[in-house]
Amino acid sequence: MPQDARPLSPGEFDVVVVGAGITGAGVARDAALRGLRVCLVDQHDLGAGTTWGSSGMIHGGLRYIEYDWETTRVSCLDGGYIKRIAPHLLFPVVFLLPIYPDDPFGIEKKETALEVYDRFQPYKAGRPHVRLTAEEALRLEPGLRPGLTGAVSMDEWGVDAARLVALNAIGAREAGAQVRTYTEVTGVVRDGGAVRGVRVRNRLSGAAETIPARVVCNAAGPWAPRLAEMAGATLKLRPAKGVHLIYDRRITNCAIGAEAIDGRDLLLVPHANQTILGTTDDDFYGDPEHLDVSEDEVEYILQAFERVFPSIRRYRIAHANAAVRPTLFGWRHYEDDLSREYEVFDHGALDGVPGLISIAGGKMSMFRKMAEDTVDVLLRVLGRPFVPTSTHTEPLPGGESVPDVVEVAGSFGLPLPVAQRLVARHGARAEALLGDADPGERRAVLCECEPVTRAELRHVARTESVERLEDLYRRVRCTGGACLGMRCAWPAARVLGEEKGWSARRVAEEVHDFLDARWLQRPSVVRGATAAQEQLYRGAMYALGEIADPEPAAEGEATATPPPSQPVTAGD
Amino acid sequence: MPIDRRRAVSMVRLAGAYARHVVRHAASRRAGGQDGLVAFAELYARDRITALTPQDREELPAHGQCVACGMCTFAAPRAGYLRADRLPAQLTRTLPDLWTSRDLPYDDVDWASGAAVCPTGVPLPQMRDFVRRRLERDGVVPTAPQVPPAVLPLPRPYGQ
Repeated sequence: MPQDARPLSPGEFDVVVVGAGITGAGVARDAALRGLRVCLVDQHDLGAGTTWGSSGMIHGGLRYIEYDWETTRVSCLDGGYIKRIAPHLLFPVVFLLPIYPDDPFGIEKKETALEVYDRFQPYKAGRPHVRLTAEEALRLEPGLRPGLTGAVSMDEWGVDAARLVALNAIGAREAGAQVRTYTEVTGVVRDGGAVRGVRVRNRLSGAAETIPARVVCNAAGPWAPRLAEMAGATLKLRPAKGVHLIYDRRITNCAIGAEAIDGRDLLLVPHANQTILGTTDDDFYGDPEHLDVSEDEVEYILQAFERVFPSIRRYRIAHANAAVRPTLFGWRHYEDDLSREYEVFDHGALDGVPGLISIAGGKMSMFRKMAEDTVDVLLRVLGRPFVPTSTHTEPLPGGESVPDVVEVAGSFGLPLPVAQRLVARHGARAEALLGDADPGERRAVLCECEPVTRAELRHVARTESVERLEDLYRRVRCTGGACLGMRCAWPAARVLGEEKGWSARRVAEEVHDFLDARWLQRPSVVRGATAAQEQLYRGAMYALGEIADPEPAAEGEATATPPPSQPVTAGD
Repeated sequence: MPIDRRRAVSMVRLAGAYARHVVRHAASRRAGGQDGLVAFAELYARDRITALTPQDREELPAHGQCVACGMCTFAAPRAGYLRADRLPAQLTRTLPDLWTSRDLPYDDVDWASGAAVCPTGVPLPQMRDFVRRRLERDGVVPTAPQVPPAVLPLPRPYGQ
């Protein structure tokens, strides 16, 4: 999926979807599969906003048991659909919920809720809960604070959220949509009172153009009110900031629930090869473009887990992230009590601005259903006959089947750890990727921690709309491991530069920008060994003179000398 | 504050479920109940999500101290794919995937020499022993992933 560059003709699109998070990418794919001519644009990379800061869960909505069983049923059903269309991408997350004597509900009530939830679990291939005594829970997870009255287990699905967005965008593209990242909406095209497209500017090249469309679908998450305002419509959200702490490995086998000082439920989630702790949920009034993580927020999370998992501070935090949820507006509620429901707004009916549809609220777990409902409205607004969705049965790219990892490793001479991660990311397309690759690059591990080979990196650089070095973290987790990019940022930038035809200076600037962006994720968590790593990281990059002070230079002028390309072969 | 009708219905249904639970649980206790760990293992052993020992728990924090400096790779020559820095930085990041390293020559790397030069004190020989212990438990090749039933009803479309 290379970046689209072909010129647009007037009236080319039925709908331009603004925002390529999980909601927008899902809408684009659904609309394209139903025969609409679609253009998907985002001011950043795919899934770089709210989705990037999500907990990475496709859950069935246990908390809705208290409010509405039908919501739980629909959530579980949709979780099942997502598992069916992307079986390679989802992995089980098993929760261990310890119950202590001061728990406001107690083990009997919690188990009752899980017994109800068990009825819905089969929809998503979930398994029934298990009740454990205090001794059994401590034998399963010796890190729990003693003194519990018991525990219950249940499971949900975890997912690489950024990859899920990428697969939806690739699927949209394969169904005929155009996908444009780093494309910022600067204005709305009006025809009389109606919205008839958007004016955009490419943030990398600076090029401006108009994308004409019969309808604009505003899926811009926390940026959605701004786009609505551009069109003269009103969209009121109550944005909330959420912070997660990220560890470079699984520090437990089970997800663990904890209660924060204000009574909120937090989770420690072993997620693929990381651990995610969070999340906070605070009203946010600033610019979603500029988020940071405060030491207070880090402390709030650690304090909560210290009560159930006393050794939490012995584990090294790799980095932290923050994102803003586009929660639907509600007054007189605490942030955590706000509805996670979603709503599709037809601004033609609401504000007298025809041609603008907004989708807001919801959760990543509901993205497929949110997209389906949005496209149903789009069809109606466009005056098209109703066509049912197929996103619940049509596999996402690579989701057609899950190849046997041992066979893939054997067929292509890959070490098993490399084959396992490749299959987890590319599913049924892993073998084609390897078959098309230069044999010398199939086994050349470029990102040690993940691991990612040169062949995989080259494939995504060519086909998955990668425009910047940092995009590689979202596509294949390159630079996301223990080294935080120290070892792989340079060689990855060089591979990307080879594919994009970048100058040596541009490669250096990419690494420079990447380092700066990484640093912004870390000040609140840098301590101990991480502080030492930061010194090492900076020293390795700067002291070696590989990053020149990026003075303005003519394109093509090689003012920095990248290190020689030294692929590390996977093994003998 | 008026209570939402859907929530009221949910609460009534939960109350009924709670009453059934109390009766059932009392009967189950009289019958001796099921071993929770056995039930847990039946559900999740195939995903290699298994119990950690107190020793595992005590050792795990040190595994995450690797800052990927690569010093250990100079002191401890690699053995095929197995390189000293790959143990903390790659192979042990997720225990359920540890099975992928089951055939690597763990005896052919000089872990002690690697650990001796580690600036953050990652205990490489201890990690090797940790991996051996875990592979005995979780080293099996996984079965095919579970997927939900092929035909599920589609929720009613918006506005229909």
